[in-house]
Amino acid sequence: MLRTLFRAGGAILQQTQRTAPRLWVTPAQQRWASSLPMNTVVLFVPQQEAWVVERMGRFHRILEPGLNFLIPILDRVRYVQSLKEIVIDVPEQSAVSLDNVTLQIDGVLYLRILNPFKASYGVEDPEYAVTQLAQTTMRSELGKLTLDKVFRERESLNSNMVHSINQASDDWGIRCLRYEIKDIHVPPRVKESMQMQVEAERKKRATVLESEGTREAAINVAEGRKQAQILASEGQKEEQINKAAGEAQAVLAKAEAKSKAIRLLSDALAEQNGNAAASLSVAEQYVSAFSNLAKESNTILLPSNTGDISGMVTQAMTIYSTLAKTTPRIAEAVEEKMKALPVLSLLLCVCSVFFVGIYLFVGGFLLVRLEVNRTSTCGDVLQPGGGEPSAAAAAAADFCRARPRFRRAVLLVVDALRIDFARFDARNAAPRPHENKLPVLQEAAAARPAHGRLFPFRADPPTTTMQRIKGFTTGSLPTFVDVGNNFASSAILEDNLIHQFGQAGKRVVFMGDDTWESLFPKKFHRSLPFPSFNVKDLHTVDSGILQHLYTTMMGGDWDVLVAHFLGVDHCGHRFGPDHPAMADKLTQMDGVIRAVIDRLQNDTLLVVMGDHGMTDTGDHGGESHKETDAALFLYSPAPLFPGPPSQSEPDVVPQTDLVPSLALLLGVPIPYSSVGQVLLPLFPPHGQTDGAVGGLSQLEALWINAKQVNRFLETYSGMAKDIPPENLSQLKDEFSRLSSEYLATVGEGRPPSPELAASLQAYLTSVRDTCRATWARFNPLKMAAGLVILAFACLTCFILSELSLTLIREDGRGLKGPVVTALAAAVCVAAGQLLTQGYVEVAWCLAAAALSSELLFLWTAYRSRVTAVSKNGSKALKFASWLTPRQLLTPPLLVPLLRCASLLSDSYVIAEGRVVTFLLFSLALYIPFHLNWDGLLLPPSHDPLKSAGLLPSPALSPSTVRKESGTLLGCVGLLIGSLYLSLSFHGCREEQGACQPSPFLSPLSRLQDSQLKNLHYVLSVFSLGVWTYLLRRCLRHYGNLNSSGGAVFVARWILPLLSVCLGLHWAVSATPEDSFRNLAELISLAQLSLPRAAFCLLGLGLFLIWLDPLTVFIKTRAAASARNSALPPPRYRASTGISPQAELHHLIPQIYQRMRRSLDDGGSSGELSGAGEVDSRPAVEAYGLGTVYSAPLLLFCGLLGIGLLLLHPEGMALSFLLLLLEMGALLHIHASSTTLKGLHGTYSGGFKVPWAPIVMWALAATQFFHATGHLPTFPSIQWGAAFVGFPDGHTGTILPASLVTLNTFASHILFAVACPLLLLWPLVCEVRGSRGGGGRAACGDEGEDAVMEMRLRENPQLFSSALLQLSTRYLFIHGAQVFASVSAAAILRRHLMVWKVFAPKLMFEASGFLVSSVSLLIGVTLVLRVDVAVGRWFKRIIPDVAR
Amino acid sequence: MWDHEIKAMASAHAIIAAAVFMATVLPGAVVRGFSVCGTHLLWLYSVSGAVAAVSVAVFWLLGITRPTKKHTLGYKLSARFQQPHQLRSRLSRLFRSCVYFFLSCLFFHTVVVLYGAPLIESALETFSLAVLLTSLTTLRCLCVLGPNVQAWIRVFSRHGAMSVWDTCLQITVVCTVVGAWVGAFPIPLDWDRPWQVWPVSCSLGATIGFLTGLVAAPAWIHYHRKQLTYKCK
Repeated sequence: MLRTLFRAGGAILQQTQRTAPRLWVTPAQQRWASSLPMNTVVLFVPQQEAWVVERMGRFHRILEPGLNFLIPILDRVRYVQSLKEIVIDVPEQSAVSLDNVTLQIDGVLYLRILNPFKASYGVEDPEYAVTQLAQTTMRSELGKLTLDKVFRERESLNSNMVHSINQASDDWGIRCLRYEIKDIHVPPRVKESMQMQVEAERKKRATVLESEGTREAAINVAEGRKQAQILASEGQKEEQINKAAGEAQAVLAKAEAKSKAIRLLSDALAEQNGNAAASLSVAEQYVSAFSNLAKESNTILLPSNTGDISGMVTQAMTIYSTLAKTTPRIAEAVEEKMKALPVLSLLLCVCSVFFVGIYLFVGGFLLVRLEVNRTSTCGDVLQPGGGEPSAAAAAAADFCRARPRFRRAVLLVVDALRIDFARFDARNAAPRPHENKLPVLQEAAAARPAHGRLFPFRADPPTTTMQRIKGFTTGSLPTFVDVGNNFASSAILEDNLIHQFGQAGKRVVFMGDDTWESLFPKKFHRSLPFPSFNVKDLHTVDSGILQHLYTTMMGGDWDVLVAHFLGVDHCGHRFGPDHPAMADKLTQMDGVIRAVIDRLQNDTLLVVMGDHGMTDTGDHGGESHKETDAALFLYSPAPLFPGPPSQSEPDVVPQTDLVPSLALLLGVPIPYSSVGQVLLPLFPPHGQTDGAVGGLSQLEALWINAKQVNRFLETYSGMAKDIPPENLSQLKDEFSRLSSEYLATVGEGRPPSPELAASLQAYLTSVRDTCRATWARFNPLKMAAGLVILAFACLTCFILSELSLTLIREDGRGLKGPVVTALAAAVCVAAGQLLTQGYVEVAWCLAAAALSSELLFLWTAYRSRVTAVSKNGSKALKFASWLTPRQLLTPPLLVPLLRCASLLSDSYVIAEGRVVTFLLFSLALYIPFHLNWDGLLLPPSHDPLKSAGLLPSPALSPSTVRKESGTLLGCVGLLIGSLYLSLSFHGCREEQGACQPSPFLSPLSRLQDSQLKNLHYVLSVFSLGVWTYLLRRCLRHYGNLNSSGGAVFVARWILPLLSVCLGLHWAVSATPEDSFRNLAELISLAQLSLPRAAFCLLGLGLFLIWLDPLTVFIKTRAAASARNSALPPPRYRASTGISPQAELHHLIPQIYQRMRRSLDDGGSSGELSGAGEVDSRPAVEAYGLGTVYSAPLLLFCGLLGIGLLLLHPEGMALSFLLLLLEMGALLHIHASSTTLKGLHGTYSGGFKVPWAPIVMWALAATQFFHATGHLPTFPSIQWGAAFVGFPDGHTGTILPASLVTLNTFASHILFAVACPLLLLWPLVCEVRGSRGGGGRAACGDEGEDAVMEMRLRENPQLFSSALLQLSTRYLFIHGAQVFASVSAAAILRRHLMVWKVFAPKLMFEASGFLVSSVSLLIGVTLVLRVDVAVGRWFKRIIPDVAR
Repeated sequence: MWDHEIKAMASAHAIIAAAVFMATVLPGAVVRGFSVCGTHLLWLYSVSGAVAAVSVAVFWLLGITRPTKKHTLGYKLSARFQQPHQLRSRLSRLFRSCVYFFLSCLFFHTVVVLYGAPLIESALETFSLAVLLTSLTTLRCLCVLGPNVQAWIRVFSRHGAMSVWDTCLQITVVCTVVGAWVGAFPIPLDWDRPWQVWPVSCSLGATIGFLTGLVAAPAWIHYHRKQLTYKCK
């Protein structure tokens, strides 16, 4: 391996050794060494030398270079031969040539010793011998040659010499390598004669040349005459041919004109009363022909039946009628239309499949429940019903004011206290860290069984702290989304224990986890919250509580004390339950409980409980038993349990049960929405009430409880329909039966049967089970179905984008099968459900429909692929190539893959804004690098290989390429710059510790510093102005601001007006409340009216664009000279075909071309220029035809952008400007790279948009979601948007919800609507000739004209397929993200962060997809609408102009 | 046909890789408490210095710099010492190379900052990373192609490689940059590992990518030597 290097290194060594060591090894530097080296035993022989050694006078051996040993005295170095080449001067000598000239000649001889032995012993003096030999040989060789030859044949002379010398010198061991003649001297006389010879030669040549010149001149003159004559005759010939051709063309043109006239006529005939008109005109012609005849000659040839005009007319009419029948058919056959319907329906199908998938998954994953916002009061709970004045009723009526069993309660909530942490097993000799660490519970329960008892306490999923706190204070089953009417804050609005305590006048003191503070704001008498977020911090909360707990208990100003310890939970998250730290923590808790028990008083109840458990890894959130089973320990110094533990006691206490029990023990009404059941062991059985401290008996408690639950059930079923109706009716019947039985029992005063209590209990249990089945369970089946449908939907979307052309070709026929199957499957499932269950669940019908249609589509795609493969190889190869990994793993697809993968990690979701920017940045850098890699970025170097025709590049001028590359790089720079700047508009999640939200996110009115305020305002207004200016500038540049249509009106007036409105609105809303007191009325009016006016303007603008999207301005110029009475045909090439479509093809480029020409003349101002055409024919000039599709779309987006900006804080105007710039940069990057590919002849044809720009577009949408201050969390939703224009709030929920949605997904909307621009922009920016190779020769013989977006009209089929492909690709990227976040939520549903990170992310991603797809459909529909309008416009313009 | 050059490349790469290894190990003997994560900047400087020195020496010895001329060292040496006017142009080339080195550091710094590195807080760390990247990528370009941006741009195109060394340059540079890019992935994760601190993971990624490139380039060229064709200019 290292040989090469060593060789190189060796060379250096040699080099350096060369001078020094040689000096001491061989001091004599002579060629033939005179003083020979001594025999020093060890000898170093230098390279290229051979030392001949004699041993005792006889030749012994030759020493090779390097180390050698010789025997002293015996051996002797006799000769030293250098093996290097030797140069010998051969002295000058005279020789006689063949023609007897005496020459003096000398030379150089190059020798080398080959055989040192022979050289030493074969000859005495090799040098002398060779020199002599050379001299003699030279003389003899020269004798063979003449003088002239000597000069000419030096080379051969040399080689002859070498040859003959070598023959002789072989025996001497010497080889002659070269012999060079140095100089040849000639005697002076000979020299003179040679000179004269040369002179004569020259003279001769001059004479010859002169004569030749004369001859040539004569020939030239003659030739010229001949040519002139030939040319003259040819000219005549051409002239005659041209005349003939002209005549022929004239005849043709006339014929065509006539055919058109006939067609026009036939068109006219096809109209109403055409027949009559035709007959009239025929009759007229008939008569006029006769009159002419009569005028011109005096002889008239009359037809046989002169008078029968009507007969002739009839004859003519039959001809017309046959014509009229045929022409419309032709027109139909030729006309190609944009396939709007298939595109839209395919897109709709794909979207709906995605929606179904999302709906199913969300239905199974997100538990939704309606909140009932009613509260219990003392009165309504305790009326036994029926209004009967019974003893029990009378006793219970003023229960609220009666003395409760306990006056005070201490709630110690130990977060994540699993039941097996709390149990004590004395036999366990080797307890694990979490076992046997809370002996106090066991001791207390064993010592005084009537005073304390430990229960397993089962939580309902989701087992996260916030949901659990909600659960054991409201007694309800909280879900992830509790739909209430105020979803802005996380405060509990449902009736709950804390609220009831407050209502009953009890002072609640709280300390611990700060979640309570946000759930019950301002409900506590006193509160000491501690931060709960940092999971790694085990002690802050606990020591904070312990500082205050005992002093508070000893003090008197509390009735209910809640202390929430977090240490155990944090320890679990950090170390897991099996860790010494857990043992320490639990021991600490043991001490706390002991201390609290010691300080309890007789009227105080102690509740120690865990809110949920933990898995063996310390996580929670799911529904395994280890997560749900917590501990509940009830204790009181006063006897709490009337009886000893019995068999009838519940094994497990559901968490909801704590609420009614606590409420009744402390004498407050049960919260309204509680579905819990009182803990019967806490209440004395009937008849023992007197013995107990006082309070309710078991049956009374059960009755109150059942009545409250029934009331809640009635209210809830009136609001929501998610409880199955047959269960509901069953429960109602049960309650009315029990109710009557109980009332009867109480009314009669007889002791109640134990069955009644049991059935009341059973009733309560069944209510809870029903509710739980409805609310509190993931539905794994639905989740799986949703996942599968989404996965297939992504696949379908991808395949659809690849097959778009085929699908459009067959006119969307492939769609029918799946749709029919979907309907059939849905109906089948619905029927099956009706038969088996008796009711229809819509979700499953939809699932069946979606899944079956997807599978059918995929199957057909697969089949068609298989058949294509079997049919023809080449086409199938191209078709089948899209699923190979090599195709899929290109960076443009790798980036979305990374993005999807990043959704599976909570850290990446938290840092999503940065992640997306990072990926977008990478892709932006990748594009120029990839272009360079393909050799497209720079003009190709002019090397012979390419110019020889390896690359057919028609219009490839280096300057164009350089200009395009410059544009590309500039736009990449702009993109990167705006990406970087947009980072400063991000908001902050609470999980990101050291993060400052962008100062631009807060509204202006909150800024205190007036100078800063002004600066912000000016910046915002400036960027708003730039936004408007850029839009108008762009439209004007492409000549779209000249006509007087609706869209242009919008661009001219509504757009600026809207911005002015917005600027004023900002100014008004930023004015401080206290200044301008006298203008308060006006300001409040402006605050109301300005945004509303903006909304109206926006609506009007969008509507006008929709109504009249054309921005084309036509100018028809009349003939310049009026002298020609008859109008000559307009300058417009007649086509060979007769169809109007063919005419269209020729007209469009021409219109466009004129437009360009006049634009060029008039500069970019778009003003009309008079000096357009010099000829006198009428001309058509259409302005803005090249951007007829993109202009309305751009305008639409611009307008929408301002509208959405209205809903944002003012500072976001900067971010929106960046968004516009980034959009433009992306579009230009895409356009430039397409052009570069086209310029180099590698353009693939069609309007296909490659993956890279679409991926960037989709990423940019997500990126600006973050850069406009949004985050995928619920607290970060900008609720202020709902009050723009409605400062006093709303009555309904639809309007504010839609305003907030528009605000949240502004960037999704803008990017999705503008998505078709990706298809249009390369055409807008197209460079002449860049698409020359595409085979579009429709421009006729005037060469390649840039016709911009009119190409789309020429190829409606390609256009529709490209549009479909673009949309499906865009949908695919968003759909894949939805799929990824759905998978994340499904896989990580036990993750600590699932309700904080993944579930909100899923919701935002899903809603983003929803909004995006709807906006995309709007954008696509707008393009199709423009297409229809353009079609109409052409229909209108062609008859006017072409004839 | 290229066996000789591939072997030369492999041995050169082995020496550079060894230099990286030594630069990681040796300073531990000199500096107390030296570790890759702990004294990261020190490690970074030692690696970039070692790579720079070794690659300059190796490429200078191998004589890749002037592909058109003879590769023998004797020729170069004699040319170098015999013609003084070439010495001046050589000096100006050296000067330009230094300028390019510095500009490339600035360029990498800008790109890294645009990628999301903090602008002001850890500017030193970011610049050190830029220096490392420069000595792993740009310095190689300078060694192989000389201070000639046109040639650099040319080399990074599909048909731009003109020798095995150009292909090798493509592979190592791309591997290094991709390594640094991948190195940024673990930064946002909440694992609290010492190597997640900026810019440890990126510079580790770049170094590992560079080493991968060193191994991959000769291997790739060896297995694709049949397909590789170079045109001469």
